[in-house]
Amino acid sequence: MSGKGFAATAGSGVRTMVALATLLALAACSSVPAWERGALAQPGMEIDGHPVHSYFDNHIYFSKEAATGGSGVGGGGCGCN
Amino acid sequence: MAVTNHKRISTALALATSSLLGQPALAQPYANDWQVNAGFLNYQEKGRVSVQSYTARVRGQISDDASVQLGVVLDTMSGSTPTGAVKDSTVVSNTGTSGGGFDVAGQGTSMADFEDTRLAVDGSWEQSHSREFRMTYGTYVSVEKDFTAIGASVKGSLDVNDRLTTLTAGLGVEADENSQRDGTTPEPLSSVGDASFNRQGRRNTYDALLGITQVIDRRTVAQLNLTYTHSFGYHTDPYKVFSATDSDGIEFARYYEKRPEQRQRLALFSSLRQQQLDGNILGGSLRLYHDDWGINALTTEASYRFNTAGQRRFTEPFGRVHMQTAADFYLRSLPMGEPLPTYASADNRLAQMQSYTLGVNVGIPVARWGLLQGRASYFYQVFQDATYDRNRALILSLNYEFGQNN
Repeated sequence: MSGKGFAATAGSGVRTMVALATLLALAACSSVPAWERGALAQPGMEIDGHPVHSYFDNHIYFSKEAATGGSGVGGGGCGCN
Repeated sequence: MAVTNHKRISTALALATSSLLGQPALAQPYANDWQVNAGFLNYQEKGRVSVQSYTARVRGQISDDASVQLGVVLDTMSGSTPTGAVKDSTVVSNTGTSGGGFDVAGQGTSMADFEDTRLAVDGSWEQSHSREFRMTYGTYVSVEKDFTAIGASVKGSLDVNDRLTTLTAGLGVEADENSQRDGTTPEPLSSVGDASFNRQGRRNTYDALLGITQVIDRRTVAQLNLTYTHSFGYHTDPYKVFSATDSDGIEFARYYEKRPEQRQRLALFSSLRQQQLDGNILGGSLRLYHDDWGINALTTEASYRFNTAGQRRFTEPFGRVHMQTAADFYLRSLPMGEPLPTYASADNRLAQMQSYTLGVNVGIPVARWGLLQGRASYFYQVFQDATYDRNRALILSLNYEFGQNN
């Protein structure tokens, strides 16, 4: 429960996020024209997953594990943990 | 030549105008843009908790630049759950807490029967302010017999780099009220036998998110999110206890748990979807988690979607592994002679743990615009230094969606 330790971890988390985001942008330096993005729009390519499955999964894991977060804001309001 | 061209253009424009004006009025121009989801979940632990969840969700375009989404969820929960007390006990304590009532003398002392129902509704509004920028506003309310929550969120998304990159930022807030079913909370660290109770506990939670979604190539998309959550107030579970034990591990006293009044969480989440040359889709994600209760966790998931007969029929096996360290104040029991700590909990969800999920999702098209999905998975948890060293569950879900996008 050390706030200083958490602040240090948060700082390194932000730096890691920036570094990975930069890598991600660099990895995508080759352009993909709009007419070549058909595969990206096909069913199953949704990066956020299926909404109902995601809801069920979050509901279960939130109530059975200590870690949560990463995929959105707003907890969904469950007293199960 | 020029005159001829002019005449042709005029004629074409006239024809186009007359054909447009001649179209019958579209009374419901967005009537076919609605997507309806209905889902059912059955979660069944071996000898413990059973949950049935019913959900319905509708999403629709209501104008050129706005869409809405509404959802409702009904959960019914029953069974028994670990209280935190060790299995062997000489303690006889109260049975007065409905839902969390435990310890009928001479019977199991470390499990409590419970039964509850939860109703939750949520809604969101997505507004496009330009071709590249959109905002999403969401709100939800959730009610159980011993817990209520109300929350709201706002999220902005900006497409840049020829729409190959989406930058996302979001904020969320939630207010909770938590208690035992009679509306009280036990005095933290009080002896269960003292039956000392306070009013319900309140907690506010604030979330922030930064994210980037990136098209890597014409078959690959990746996402990276960083979320920070800070919550203030009552974090203690009003039903959980811990045991004080003698040298043989036999309980001689029992106390209500106490958790810190704040919690800060940080999660770095990455996800990737890649379509293979044969059309099948590889998915994977990794989450790193840290909080100021001393819990560090790593969670990874992988899936592979085999498409058959086009993109709509598929079989998708998936797996998930979660590993976490214990909270600083977690204890299995308090040894004899040790003073009461500032914070203490024997909740096995705060213990060092590994969770494994293995399952398969099958999608079957139904008629022209419908899709039925069935998922079955096996969930297995292993706990270290806990009263119960494992938990097993079978998870079954069905989801039917209907809409033109299927």
